[in-house]
Amino acid sequence: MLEQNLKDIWKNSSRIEKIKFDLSRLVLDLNGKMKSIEKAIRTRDIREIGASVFGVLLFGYFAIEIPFPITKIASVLTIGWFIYIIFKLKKNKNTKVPIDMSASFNDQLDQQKNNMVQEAKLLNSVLYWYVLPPFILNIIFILGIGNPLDYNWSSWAMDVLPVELNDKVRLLTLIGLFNVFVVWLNKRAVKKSITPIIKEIETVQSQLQSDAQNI
Amino acid sequence: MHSQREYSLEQVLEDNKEKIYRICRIYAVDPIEPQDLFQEVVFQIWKSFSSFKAKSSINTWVYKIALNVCFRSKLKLEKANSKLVKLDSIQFIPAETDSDSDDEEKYKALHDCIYSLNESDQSIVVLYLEELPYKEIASITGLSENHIAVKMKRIKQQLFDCITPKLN
Repeated sequence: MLEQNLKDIWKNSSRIEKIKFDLSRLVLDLNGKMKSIEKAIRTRDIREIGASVFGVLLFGYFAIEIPFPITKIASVLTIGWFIYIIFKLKKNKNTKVPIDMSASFNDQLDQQKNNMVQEAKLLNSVLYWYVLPPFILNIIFILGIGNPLDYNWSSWAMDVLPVELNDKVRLLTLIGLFNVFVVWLNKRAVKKSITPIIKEIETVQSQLQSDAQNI
Repeated sequence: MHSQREYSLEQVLEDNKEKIYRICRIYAVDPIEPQDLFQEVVFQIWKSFSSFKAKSSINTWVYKIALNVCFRSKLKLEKANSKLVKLDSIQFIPAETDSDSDDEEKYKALHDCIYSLNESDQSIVVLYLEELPYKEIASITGLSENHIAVKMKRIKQQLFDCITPKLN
């Protein structure tokens, strides 16, 4: 009796509002929303890859223009690192499995968790693939800058590149501090945003598996 | 078994709108409204519609999407509800007949009792209240039919213990 009462209460609950579809507009509306989501994703991709392309062009210019051999080598290696970053970000997107919303609840939880774990791994390891390699290259690049007079070289770039040791140390310290901040930001994102979601998914997974011993 | 070609999107939405909305009402937590979740479910159904294969019934398929979308909203994967889809072509109109305050109270009691269950039990109990057989609940949740039966025995007891004093 109570069981049927509850089912009736539940079914009657949708009577408080009538849902009407304007079918002539619905598909247009859905298509429009799909396009706006795709546009947002495309813009994000262009922004991420655009920064690396800018880096390739800038260090390409340095590699050609700057006469100091060590700085030249560092510029070429930095270009290689920027290209690696483009591939790394693309690869990460490709390996992320799109969530199949029509999968079973249990499977969907697995998919969500895998994606979150992958995201956490990527962000937790930024020190090794995003921060340290360019920082080492920055050190080589900056310490490699020699005296332009020795090479009979003059360029607008000398206004921004440090020549004196003091200036080099100051710039490297600033870059180092910025890198520490980048690592901290990523670790914080994992701790504040991703880890709680993984824990919540794991809790629900273990709740789902509970009672299995009574089968 | 039917294939996707035998259904139109409009038909599927029309036939299932009330059940989807009932589930959305359980999962909507401020600042997300049930209407927001409903629209997101409709969007996901439309997105996945072409890939529907008649491995399960269309009802089971709709329930899976509704449950997954609603649960996903709880994980707060998107910042606030900025990424939730707003569709102007779906209207929510309050029912013309005055809703019975007694019915509202009963529903509120049921809602509170469902909400007091853990996340996994919530997802199972809404399917039970939809009068789905255990076999279908098992297919939607990805558990075995026996497992669902054992769980339901416990969940029903919890639900009855919670709601009986509220309804009397």
